[in-house]
Amino acid sequence: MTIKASTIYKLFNVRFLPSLMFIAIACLALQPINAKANPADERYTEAQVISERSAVKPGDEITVAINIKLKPHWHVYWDNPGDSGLPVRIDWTLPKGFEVSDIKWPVPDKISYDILVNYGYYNDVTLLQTVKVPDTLPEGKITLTAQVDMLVCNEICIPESSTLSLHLNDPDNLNAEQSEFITAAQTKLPKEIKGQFFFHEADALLHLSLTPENRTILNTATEDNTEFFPHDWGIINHVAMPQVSIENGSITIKHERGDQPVKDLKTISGLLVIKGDIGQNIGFWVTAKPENGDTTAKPIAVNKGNSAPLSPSDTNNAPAPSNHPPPGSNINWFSALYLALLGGMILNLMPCVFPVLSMKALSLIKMKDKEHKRARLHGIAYTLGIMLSFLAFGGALIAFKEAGTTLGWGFQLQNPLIVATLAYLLFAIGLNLMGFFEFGGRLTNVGNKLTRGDSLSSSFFTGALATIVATPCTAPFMGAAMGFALTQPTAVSLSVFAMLGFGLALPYLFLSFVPAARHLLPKPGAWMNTFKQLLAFPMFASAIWLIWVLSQQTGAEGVLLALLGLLAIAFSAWLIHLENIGIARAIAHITLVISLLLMTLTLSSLRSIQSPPTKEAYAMGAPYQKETLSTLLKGDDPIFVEMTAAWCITCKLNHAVAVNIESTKKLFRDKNVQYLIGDWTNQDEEITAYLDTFGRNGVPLYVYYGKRDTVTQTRPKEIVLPQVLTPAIVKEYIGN
Amino acid sequence: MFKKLTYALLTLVFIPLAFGWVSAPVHASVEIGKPAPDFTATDIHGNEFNLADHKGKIVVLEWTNHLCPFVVKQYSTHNMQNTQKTATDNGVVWVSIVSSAPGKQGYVTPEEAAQIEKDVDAHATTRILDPTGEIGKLYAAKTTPHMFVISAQGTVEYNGAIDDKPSPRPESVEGAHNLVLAALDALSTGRNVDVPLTAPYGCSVKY
Repeated sequence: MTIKASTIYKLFNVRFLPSLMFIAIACLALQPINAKANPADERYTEAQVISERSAVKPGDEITVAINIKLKPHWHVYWDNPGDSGLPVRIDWTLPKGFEVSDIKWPVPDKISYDILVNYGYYNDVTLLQTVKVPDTLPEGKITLTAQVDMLVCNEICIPESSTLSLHLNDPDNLNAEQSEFITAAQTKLPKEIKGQFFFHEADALLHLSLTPENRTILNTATEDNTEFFPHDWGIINHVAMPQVSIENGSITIKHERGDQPVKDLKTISGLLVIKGDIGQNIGFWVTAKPENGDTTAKPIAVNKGNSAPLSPSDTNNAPAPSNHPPPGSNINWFSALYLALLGGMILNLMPCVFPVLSMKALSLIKMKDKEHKRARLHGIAYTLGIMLSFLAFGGALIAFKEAGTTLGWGFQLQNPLIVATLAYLLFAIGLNLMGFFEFGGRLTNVGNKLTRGDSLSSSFFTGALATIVATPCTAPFMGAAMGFALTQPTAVSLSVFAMLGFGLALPYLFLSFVPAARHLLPKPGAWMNTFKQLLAFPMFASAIWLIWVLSQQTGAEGVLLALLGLLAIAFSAWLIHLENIGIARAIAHITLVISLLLMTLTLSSLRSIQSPPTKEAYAMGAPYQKETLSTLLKGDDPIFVEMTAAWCITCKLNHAVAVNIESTKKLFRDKNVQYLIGDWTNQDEEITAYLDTFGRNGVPLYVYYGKRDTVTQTRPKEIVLPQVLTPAIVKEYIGN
Repeated sequence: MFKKLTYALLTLVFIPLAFGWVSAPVHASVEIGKPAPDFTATDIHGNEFNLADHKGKIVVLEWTNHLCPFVVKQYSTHNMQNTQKTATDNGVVWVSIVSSAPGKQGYVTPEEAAQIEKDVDAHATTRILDPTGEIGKLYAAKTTPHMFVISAQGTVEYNGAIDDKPSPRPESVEGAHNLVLAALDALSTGRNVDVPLTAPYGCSVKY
């Protein structure tokens, strides 16, 4: 085979290509029908035609077989060849009055090749057709001719064809019987089944819900050996692995859709395949209909005397499989808005936001009571600044999602460049609060300016700044609301983002509208300066945390570069500090710009050598991998899945206080809990996909799969734990 | 003053946001009517090709592998060259892309590619080698040939086969409906493409 392949390479040598093409055309022109498209004499296929029997009477129907034998490792294609290739084609030349049916295809194998998947056959395949004999037959030998065109491939593809003759009623050969061969071939055909077959689209996946009437056919089906082979092109993305769940006699297959939008499909037909060795797949023909929107009202099919009737209790407990809403998505618009509002308000307390807001609040102290109107305008400008920034952020995210990018909330911290930039920003604000950072040669430092509260646009931009400095904190705390937002129509998504912004702005808005509340604030005085300096420390702390995140993403080199960036900022700040020296100021600006640009460029090149986060960071637990989980799911033990990221504070906190503690470890040991940790610090499609199945778009996510019931041999439905864990919560979920 | 600082800081944040993401290799899929994924490559003559630079012009992407029988069918009958010529004569930018990996069928060096271009008398605007398969996977190119037509506005308006005769036989070219020409015709006269999505046929791309 290897020798063959290289011969072909030689023959198709670039220099000979034009002449070869000429020869090919000439050959084809001279031999219009029986063209040997294979330039070498060697063939990879050997085809023969076999009839059920050789003697026929008028009006008979007989089964004929085209049998193709292939060289090892070469394959021909099914009716749906998959991402490339061509199905075997049979063109009959028939005597007058004869008719031939469509091809009956045996269940194919799935043939994967890098990002492409084909459906086809290895070794030996038999295609069946029914030939209808007319009511009047001529005397003597009747000849039917089949032209079989095959594309035979093994990495490279070669078109081959065979012309086969079938002689019926040949006086020399009347009693030939091949019915055993035909019967054997028929066992390889897909089986027809009845049942309820529906499809719909949810969470950007095609969901197939298959409930066969006869449950026994599912006896050998498991979540790992079951797949759907669509009959038509563009239904599924063949290369994506399906998510299969089998429950109560129903199979649910979730699959990435193909090029054809699901809403354009009227039916989906194909094979429900239970996989075996090569050539041993078992297939069932199903044709699924679109599910109407009203899923709850759908009646369960009444079974009429099939071989495995459902008991009454079964019928009650067997919901139409598609009734399962995606877990975690049972959060409606209003609760999402409420969560967003609450989340936004909590953001005010985050170490990265609190200092900025405090300064803003202090500016109100200085406003005299007469300045009510002005205070209100500031409040409105600030709120607008925040809300517009959130909308812009949300809009950008939705645009990325629309463009097909798979990003989850928190994705901004998966990019070391952005982590470093935020660290610079927080550091710069810290220096500024310290009073170390002065602009324009005037002694007024920016902080004073801020507390004085000058123009309305400054309020607006403080809002924008607050939004930006809040981003490292939004990710860990806003998971559920954000996850919901991103799976909704654009208008709903944006409303959630706007509400989050409104929540962030609310405390200041309140202070600016209610003078009485302002009186509760302390009187202005010298303490404000000290307080302001104190506020620099949460900023520095946040910067330190970001640098640590960076260390997980890029390793020591990235940290070095980021710290050099901070040095450049500090140096520039010092240069600016040399008040009124024009040259120093100019140098300061140039140094700052050049060094930051340099750091940024170097950091962006570092992204490609992102080292995987160190798994040793976790005292226990195996790294999450899709295969590991599906292997574990096959077993009986309970499974705990933790999805985390270095930049996610909630995750770290939960891990430290509720998971990585002696009592939980003991609980896990006692219950034999298999523990998987997925690290989403860097982009990871598998984890994003996993989060997506729970309607989430961010971390943390904790999922507990209960142990397999010894009687029913099924696992209970997986449980999603709250996003904030305590040892008691973990115990409550896993202890039972 | 504070405004100045915030402006500066905002810029500081958004500049890397902008160029950090645009160049990030993201898993994009091609959808009809949606923006075509952008890419930059060096063509076989050493010139830079940046898809974004060609906004305002219709662009055709052709995945090819000169040893694939389906490609040989198109070139031996001059069907592909004629399609290329019709397109480029009408101001269309035609990019032939080879995504064969080193050691796989159809992999060529820039010199060999240039020779093929000459031998078959290709009329493409440019030819790009994509041995890493990055561009091919960006577009989920599945077969050779596999054709994409991108509108002047930069959206994908056709994705699929060159014509409606999925066969390696050269004689099948005759009477075939050329789907790429149909798409180009529609776009250049401001109509919607009748058949924007078809199953591409041919050999698999040799990633």
